[in-house]
Amino acid sequence: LAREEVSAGGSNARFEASLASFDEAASQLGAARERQLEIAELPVTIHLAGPALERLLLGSLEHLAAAVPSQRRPAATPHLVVRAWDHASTGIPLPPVPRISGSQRAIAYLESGGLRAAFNPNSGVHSLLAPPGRAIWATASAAELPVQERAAPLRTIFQWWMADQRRLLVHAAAVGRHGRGVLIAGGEGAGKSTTAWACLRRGMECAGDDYVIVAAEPPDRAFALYSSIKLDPASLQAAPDRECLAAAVSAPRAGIKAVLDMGMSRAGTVAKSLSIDALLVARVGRGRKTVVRDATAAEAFKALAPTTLYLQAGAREHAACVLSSLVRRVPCRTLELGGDLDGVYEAIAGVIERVAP
Amino acid sequence: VAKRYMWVASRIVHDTFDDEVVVINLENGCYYSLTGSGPEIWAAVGRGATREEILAAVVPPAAISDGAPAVDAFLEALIAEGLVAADGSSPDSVRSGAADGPRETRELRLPVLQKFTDQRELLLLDPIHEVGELGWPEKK
Repeated sequence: LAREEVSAGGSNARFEASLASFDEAASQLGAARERQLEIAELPVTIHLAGPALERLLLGSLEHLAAAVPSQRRPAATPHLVVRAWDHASTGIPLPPVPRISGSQRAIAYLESGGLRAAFNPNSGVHSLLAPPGRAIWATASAAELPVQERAAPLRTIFQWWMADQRRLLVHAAAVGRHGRGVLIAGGEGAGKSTTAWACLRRGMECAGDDYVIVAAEPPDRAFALYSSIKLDPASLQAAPDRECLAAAVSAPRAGIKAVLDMGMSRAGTVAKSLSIDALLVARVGRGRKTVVRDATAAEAFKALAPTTLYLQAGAREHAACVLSSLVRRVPCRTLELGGDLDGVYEAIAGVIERVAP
Repeated sequence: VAKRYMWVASRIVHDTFDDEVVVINLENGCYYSLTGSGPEIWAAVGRGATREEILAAVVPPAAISDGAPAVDAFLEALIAEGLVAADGSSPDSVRSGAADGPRETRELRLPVLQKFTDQRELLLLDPIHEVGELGWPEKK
C-alpha cells in the first residue's frame, strides 16, 4: 500500500473546487435536475448537470423516488447530496486522476481529512464523499458508461455513506413475502440473481439481486437499493416474465448478462425492505431439485464477507464486524440450487415459513 | 533469538467461530478456513508466540515427533499465503505466547488449512489500491 503523508487541506480544496465547477457549469446549462430519493429510510438528493445522465444513472433508482412534499409532509433535509455530471455533455472538468504505479486497472482509493475519493479506471468513474454527506460523481461520457455501472450506479458513494449511517451495502440478494424475507449470500456465479428471478416470477418481493443494504444492528433488515437484475440467457428462457423482458435495460451478449428492471415485472414487486429471518448460502447444485440444509455461521461468513469486502474501498474492518454479528444472530442454511426454478421458489418459501418468528 | 510469529494485520480480516477461524486476505482475493488445531495456533500467533510456545500449546509432548512437522508446515503455509510473518528480532524472553502448559493427556489434533480462490476474480477485476495525497494531483 502506498500510504504517504496526507494533508486534509489539499483534499478539501480539491472537493470544493469540483463543487464550484459543477455549480458554475450547471448554471450555464440551466438549473441542475434535482431528484429526491429515499434510501434505506434516509432522504437523499441527487443533482444532475444536463440531461444525459438522467436515465442512465437513475434508471435503477427510480423505485426509491421520495413522496412529493406537501404541507402535511414537507421535504426532509437530505442526509446525502450527490452532484453528478459527465464531461462530454456538460464540459464540466473532471476531478484530477491519481497516479498509480503498477496495475493500470487498479481502483485508486484515497482517505484523507474526512474525504474519501476513488477513481475506477475500468469504468472511468470518479467518486468523492466529504462530510457531512456531500458527494461528487463524475465520468467522461455518459454514453460510454458500462452496463454494470448503469445496473448499480453510485455504488462506491453509497457504500461509504452507508457505513456512516449504521448500515452496510452487502453483496447479496434478498427476497421474501409480506415483509418477511431471507438474505441470499454467495459470490459471483453462486446463483443469487437466478434465485431472485425464480422468486420474483412467482410473485415474491425482491429487495435486490446483487446488492442490498443491511442494518448494522438489530432488528435485522435488508433495504432495497437497485431495481436492476442481471440474468444469463438460460434464466431468461425459463418461463420469462414477458413484461419485464420487454423493458430490458440491456440484452445479453457473449459472456455478459442481460440487465432487466424488476420494477417492470407484472409478477413480483421490488420491496422497499424485508426483515432478514434467515441467511441462505447459495451454490449451484447438480440436480433439478433444490436442497436446503443447516449451515454454520462460519459457512455463512465465508459466503458473505469476502465477496462484500473485496468490492469495498475502505472501512473493511467495520464491514467484517457487521457481517460477523449478523451471521451469528440469524439462522443460516445452505441452498443447493436445482435446475427447476419453481423448486427454488418453493424451497425459499418453505424456509421463510419455517423460520417465522 | 527465537522467531516470533505475528499476523499481517494490515492485509487481513479474520474471525473466530466455534471450531474454525476464517481469514480473508484483502490483497490476493483468497480466503482461508483454519480447523483442527488451526484456531489455537492462530490465536497463539496473535499473541506473538514462538515456535516452541506454539508447539507447547497445541502438541502433547508424547506426540511431538508427529505434531511438530505438521505445525511447522502449517506455519510455513500461513507465511506463504501472506497471512503471518516471522520476526527474528525479538528475544524469546519477551513474553510467553503459550495459552496453557503442555497437555499430557490431550490427543494430537493436526492443523488444517483450506484455501478458497472462488472470489479471486472479483478482486482482480477491480483491484483497490490505496494512494496518498502525493498520488493525487491538484487540479491545475
